[in-house]
Amino acid sequence: MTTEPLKVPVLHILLALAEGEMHGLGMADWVEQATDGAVELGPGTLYRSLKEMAEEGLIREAPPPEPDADPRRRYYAITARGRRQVSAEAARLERLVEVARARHLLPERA
Amino acid sequence: MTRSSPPGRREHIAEARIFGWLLLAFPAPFRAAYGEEMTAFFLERLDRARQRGRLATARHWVRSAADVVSTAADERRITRRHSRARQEGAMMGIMTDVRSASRSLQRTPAFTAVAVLILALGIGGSTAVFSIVNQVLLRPLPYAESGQLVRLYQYRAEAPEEDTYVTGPAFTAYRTMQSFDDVAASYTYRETGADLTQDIGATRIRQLQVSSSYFDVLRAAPVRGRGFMPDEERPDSRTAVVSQELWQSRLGGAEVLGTTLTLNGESYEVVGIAPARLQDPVVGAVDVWVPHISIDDEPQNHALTVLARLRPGVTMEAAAAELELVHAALGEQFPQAADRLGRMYSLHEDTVGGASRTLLVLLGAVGLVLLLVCVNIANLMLARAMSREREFVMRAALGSGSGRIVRQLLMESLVLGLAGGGAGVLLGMLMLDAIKLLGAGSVPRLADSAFDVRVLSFALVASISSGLLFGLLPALRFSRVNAAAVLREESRSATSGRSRNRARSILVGAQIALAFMLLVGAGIVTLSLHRLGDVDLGITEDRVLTFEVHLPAVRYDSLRRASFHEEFAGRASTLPGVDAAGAVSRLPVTGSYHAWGSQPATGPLAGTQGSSIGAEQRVIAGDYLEVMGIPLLSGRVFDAREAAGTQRRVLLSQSAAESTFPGVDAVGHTLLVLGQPVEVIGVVADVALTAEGDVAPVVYHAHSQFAGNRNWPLVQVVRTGGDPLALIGALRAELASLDTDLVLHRPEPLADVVGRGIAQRRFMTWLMAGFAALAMLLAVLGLFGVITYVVRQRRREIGIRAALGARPAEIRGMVLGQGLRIAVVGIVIGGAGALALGRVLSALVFEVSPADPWILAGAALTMGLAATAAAWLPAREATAVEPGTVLHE
Repeated sequence: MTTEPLKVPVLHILLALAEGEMHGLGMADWVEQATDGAVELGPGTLYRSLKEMAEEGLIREAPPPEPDADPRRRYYAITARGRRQVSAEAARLERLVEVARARHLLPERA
Repeated sequence: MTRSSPPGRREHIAEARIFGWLLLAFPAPFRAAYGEEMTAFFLERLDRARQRGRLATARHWVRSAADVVSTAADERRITRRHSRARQEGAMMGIMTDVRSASRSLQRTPAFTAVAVLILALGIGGSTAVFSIVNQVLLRPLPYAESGQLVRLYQYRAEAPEEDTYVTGPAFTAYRTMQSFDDVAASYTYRETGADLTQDIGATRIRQLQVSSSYFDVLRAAPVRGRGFMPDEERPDSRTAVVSQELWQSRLGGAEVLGTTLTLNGESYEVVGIAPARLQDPVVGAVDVWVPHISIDDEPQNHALTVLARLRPGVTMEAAAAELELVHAALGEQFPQAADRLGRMYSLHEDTVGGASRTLLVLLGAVGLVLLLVCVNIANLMLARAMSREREFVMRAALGSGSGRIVRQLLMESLVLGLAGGGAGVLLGMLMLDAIKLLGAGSVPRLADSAFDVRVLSFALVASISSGLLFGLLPALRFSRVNAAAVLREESRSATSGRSRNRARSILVGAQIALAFMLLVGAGIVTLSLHRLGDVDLGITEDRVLTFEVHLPAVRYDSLRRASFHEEFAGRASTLPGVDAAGAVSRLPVTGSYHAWGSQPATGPLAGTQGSSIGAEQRVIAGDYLEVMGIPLLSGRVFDAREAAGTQRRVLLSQSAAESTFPGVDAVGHTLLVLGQPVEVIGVVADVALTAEGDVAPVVYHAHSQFAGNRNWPLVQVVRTGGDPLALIGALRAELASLDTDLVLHRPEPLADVVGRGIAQRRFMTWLMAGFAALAMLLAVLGLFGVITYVVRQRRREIGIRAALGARPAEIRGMVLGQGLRIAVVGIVIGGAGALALGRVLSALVFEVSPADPWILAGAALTMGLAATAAAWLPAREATAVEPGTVLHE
């Protein structure tokens, strides 16, 4: 079951949500941290991606994790489908890394 | 995961608003769902950026704005694509249907061509006739708010069906009425014209004398200059308003206000130019209007045509009530004319009323033709659908959905209908031109008929409804077809074949019935026309030329007028080819004119009440009676004894003599005409007043005696042995030798003048005959198609019969019999329909009963022969069937 590569924002949002639900700002902050600033999600990109991913069933809206969280914020959680997609993508990327390693494009792991 | 506190409200209002403007780039649903979150997201990050410095803040603004704008564009593009796909899903259905319908029609080009042609004929014809009905009956008159215009007439209490012109005192009284905004009079009592003298010579133009409020009533104020003032309503006024057409064509379109025109030898100052295409509602086109109308105080002189415009809000009933009061007052003022009352009609009804019956019957006829066309095409479509039955049933079995197939069938007939409608509109325009040419002058406003929005809408509606009508039948039949039987090849069985043939035969029978009705109608109007032609008008109308010569009052006083006509008639009669020449004030068979009260002063009815009759007064000169072939019955005709100034003498027509001097010879008695005594010196035969042969009493005066008090223009009549038109040149020369400025005006054969009375009937007859011919053609084609199909279907049966010894004549008889059976049913039904419609037609017939057995028999015979002709070829084909080949199929 091969699928197309995930778009960059989609992949990173799924990675962010893999551990638990988050709200929009939280996702953007995590992604920025995790990629050392390489991937910056602007408001338009972030929320358009969230809309598309919700329509495709990769994420869903979720209740806030803490009862006293800000009621205005909307929290999102990953779905089983989303988990499958991001796992498949990770596996694809792993194969890609092995190819790159075989071609001596990556330093050998110590 | 950081949790930051919600941003302080007060500081961020401005930034939130600015970001909100950026968010407008997104489509509204997206904004509604995510706008608030995006704003909160942006503002929190803005806070952090502020903490890092001004550069970071600026960078945050720029990147956020760019991100919003670019993703908004993407979002909009995606949304648009989705909605278009949804729309296209629905549209795709209709477009594919139309395309597959056209393709399917193109696969049977012969059928499609024939169907489109027949449909074009039907829709074209009905659209052409509808455009005439639209122009004549439905469109308002070409005056502003023409619904407010009325025509006023007077009538005598003892003859209420005879409307006549209005008297001066009555008109003056009408002008004071509250119900009218404006009242105007024009002098249409006689065909008025004037000789316009220019450098190039004299030409006759159309002149109308009008009162000062004429242009106000019509709301057609002159576009240059002015209309007329009330004080110009005098016989010595010499101002004029010219028409735009005269101004452009004869006066060169130059600056003309203030210049003079020479009309009938007198100088008129041009004070105004009328609006383009202004026509008088009664006389039509006018070249020049003049105000020297004579509005006298004679309560018994009916000479004025009166139009009025109702005040806004005033109904005709209210105005009519006021009219009654006005006439009550007039009756007290002029007791001798107390029996002259007044009535009004809407101008629209006055102008077109006479033609409405004719036109509505025509519309009915054309509707029948259209129905016939639809039936014909339904038949064709049924035949076509039957041959595709297997295809449809298989498609249905394979899951195509019978609803889809029915939709396709209907779509095919709709496409066919629209194609036929388009071709029909083009054909209709040609037909309309032809009708306008053939029927010129027979129906008022005919010449202005054209294809406008209403007519084109009619064509569209006709196309679509025809399409649906004739498509319905095959569609219905399909929905009830027995799928299993069709697939099992049992379509060859006798039962299902017969049921299908029955449908087609019924259709053809209906066609024959409709065609028969049209045939009867055509027969009735044709016979009426023929009977009209047989009517004895009391004159010999062939080989007589008529023309007008107008003597301008400025050069011809009463004495010169008197001598002119006698001299001209004398000279004309000496020309080679001329048998006799004379003149009359009004030609016979052109309707009532100058009907005056005439009363016997002597004789058996002298002095009795009610002995006065309304007699047509005619002034004659030269050998008029001889030219027209009116025989003298007793006494003598006018001769040199009737010189100017002598004792007034008259001739009476036979009916006049019998009405005023019954039982005695009128010669020698005295008659009072408008109170003046005249001696009767002769009695002549009657002449007809109308083309239908109605006779009215006539009193003939000698022009030499009459010219003294009234300048009545005379129509010249000249009898010749050959073609009347050949004399025009010689007569013109003769006229010029007497007076170079006189115009020989409107030369035409007398037969044409008389024929105008029946122009409308003739027009109607031609059209009905055309429709009947078309209907017959369609019915014959329909019958031909059905019989051919039947013969093909029953080839096996025919072959078997032939093998069993049936002779060709028997087989032929069988086929012909089939055709005649259908025809007979159609004729019987059509006959019933024709009798039912007879009442409608009876208003238009002349001395023909709508149920005339000869016509019915003739139509039945014609139809029968046509049916036989239609079945002849298939019958011959049937006899050619080889038993051997058929049995082995």
